[in-house]
Amino acid sequence: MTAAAPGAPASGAPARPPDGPGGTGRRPAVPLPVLFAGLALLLAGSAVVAVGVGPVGIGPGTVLRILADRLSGAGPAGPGAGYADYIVWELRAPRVVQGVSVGAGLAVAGVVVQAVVRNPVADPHVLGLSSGAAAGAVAVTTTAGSALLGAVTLPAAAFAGALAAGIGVHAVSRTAGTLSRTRLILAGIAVGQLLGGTTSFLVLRAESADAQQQVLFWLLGSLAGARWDLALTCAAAVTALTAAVLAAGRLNLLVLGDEAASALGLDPGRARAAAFTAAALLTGTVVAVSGTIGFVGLVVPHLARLLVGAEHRRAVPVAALLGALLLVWADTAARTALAPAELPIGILTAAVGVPFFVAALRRSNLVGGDAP
Amino acid sequence: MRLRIRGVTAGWTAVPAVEGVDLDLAPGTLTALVGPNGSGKSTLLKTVYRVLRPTAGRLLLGEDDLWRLPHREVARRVGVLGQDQHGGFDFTAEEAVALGRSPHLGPLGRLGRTDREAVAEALEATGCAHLAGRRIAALSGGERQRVLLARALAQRPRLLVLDEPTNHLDPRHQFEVLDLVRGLGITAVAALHSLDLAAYCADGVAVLHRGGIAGHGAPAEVLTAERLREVFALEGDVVPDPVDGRPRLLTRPLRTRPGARRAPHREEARPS
Repeated sequence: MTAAAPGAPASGAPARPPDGPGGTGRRPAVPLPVLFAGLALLLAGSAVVAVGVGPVGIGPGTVLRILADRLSGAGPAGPGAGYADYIVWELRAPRVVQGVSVGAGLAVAGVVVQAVVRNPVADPHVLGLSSGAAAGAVAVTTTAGSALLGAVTLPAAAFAGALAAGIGVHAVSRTAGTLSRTRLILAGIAVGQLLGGTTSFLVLRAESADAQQQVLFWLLGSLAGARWDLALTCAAAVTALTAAVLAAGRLNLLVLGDEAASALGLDPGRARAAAFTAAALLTGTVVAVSGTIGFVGLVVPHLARLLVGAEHRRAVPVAALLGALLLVWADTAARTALAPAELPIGILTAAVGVPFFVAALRRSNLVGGDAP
Repeated sequence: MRLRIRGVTAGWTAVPAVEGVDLDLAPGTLTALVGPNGSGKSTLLKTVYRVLRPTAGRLLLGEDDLWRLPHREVARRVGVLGQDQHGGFDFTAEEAVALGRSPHLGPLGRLGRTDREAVAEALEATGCAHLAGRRIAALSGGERQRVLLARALAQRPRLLVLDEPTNHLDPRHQFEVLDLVRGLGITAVAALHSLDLAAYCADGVAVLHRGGIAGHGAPAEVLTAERLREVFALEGDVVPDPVDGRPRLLTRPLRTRPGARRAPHREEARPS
């Protein structure tokens, strides 16, 4: 609780209470359209550059020409273009598109989860949702269940796993009607570990030839399996869910707490359930194609709020763009750092995210500050 | 708009915290709801802003039963100012006040002209216009509470419910927030801990004691020596303020002289 300091300065007087960690009381005055346009351009440029980076370097000009040819329906142009065209269009472009949608999806899921539990140190990974999604997906791929629903089997199972993990963590951490922030994080980490172990066990028990690769994929994530169909489905699902989150527009009210939200006409229980379902859907969609990639959903929402504040109509799209940027570059690093070997991308996001997580933990008052 | 509380019984457990409460709030006045800890102030207010459903009784705002209206409709008519609190999510003052328009917005949630006017008016009325672009976390407690009051005003409510709005505020801002509310001309009810603040700032005082109304009227009529002794276990007198003539309440602990009669209910009534 923040008591007014004794002798608090008079309103309008020049003396001001010391600002929080952000420094000045006002936001940096970058006009919003400029920020959006800048980030979008940066992302487009990054995508083009990232497509060119690899064992065979391809200049941005060539990449753009190939993409233009393909998108205009002209197909591969000229003799000798076939090889570059194949690398750009068949190998790297789908991977970058998938990176964009996975990064955006994880970041938006992070924003939503943080609003739902009113805890800026939460994200789908920390709360065990990602691990639940991976366990759900593995549970169907290693059993006969995979043929059950056709193409949507994997995402559906991942969604169910994420939902179940989230509900479980919530149930464990909720006692006597109050949700303890500390207990929520601890329960999430415990459930995440348990489900990660379950995932490994299920994969290894299936005794497939590439079992170790699969374990790495599900626990640390990778975009190596990117294909156009997967990338585009994932992009469409992430776009639709992000739009739904924005249209519902209830995150701003949810973070105020139940009583304030209710006084402003929101049914907090229903809104929270809907938002949480959206976060689980996003997590399931993303994990089904990329495994569990940690810390994107934790780091990116913070950065977005630093740039544009907590107002979710701005924070959600900015987080989506930043998440996409982060993942495009993390994946580029993952496939080039130890080339020709590939690093699991989760190692890179953890390298960025863990110091950040520790800093956020130290700044937040997790011990004393239990959410109602 | 008039609020009529009729026979309201409510509580969080099987034992009701308030029972059969009848209370009328005259239009455009500020009523202070006072009572010792556990007397049911907060419980009663929560039935007004629809956090706790009463097990019996009705709450009529004008002619409409607050518990029969749709939730959003109530949010358009009743504004709430709770205790000072803000999470780790940092809005600017203007964004926070704009959230007050939520119950009035369409499905896409875009602010229209009326909404922006209501936000500007609310910031103006609470003297917060100069704070509009500042982050909530960077405000002092008094400023923050004024911004949250502005959020409630942006709802354009016909009734304001203030649940211990002066907690965590220094004395100056306690007077300031309540005088501001009284000057708005909106029917308002405020749960208050300080009896002197209630006497000085409110048009009327309602005393809650053991879940029932023990008195309601002008401060000087309600805060009598006898009632203070009985409900609050305090000696006290209402006197006119020497400067502005408004009622002040002087209180002192109950003296227990040898042979003096013990005040009834002394064990239960713990002054805060």
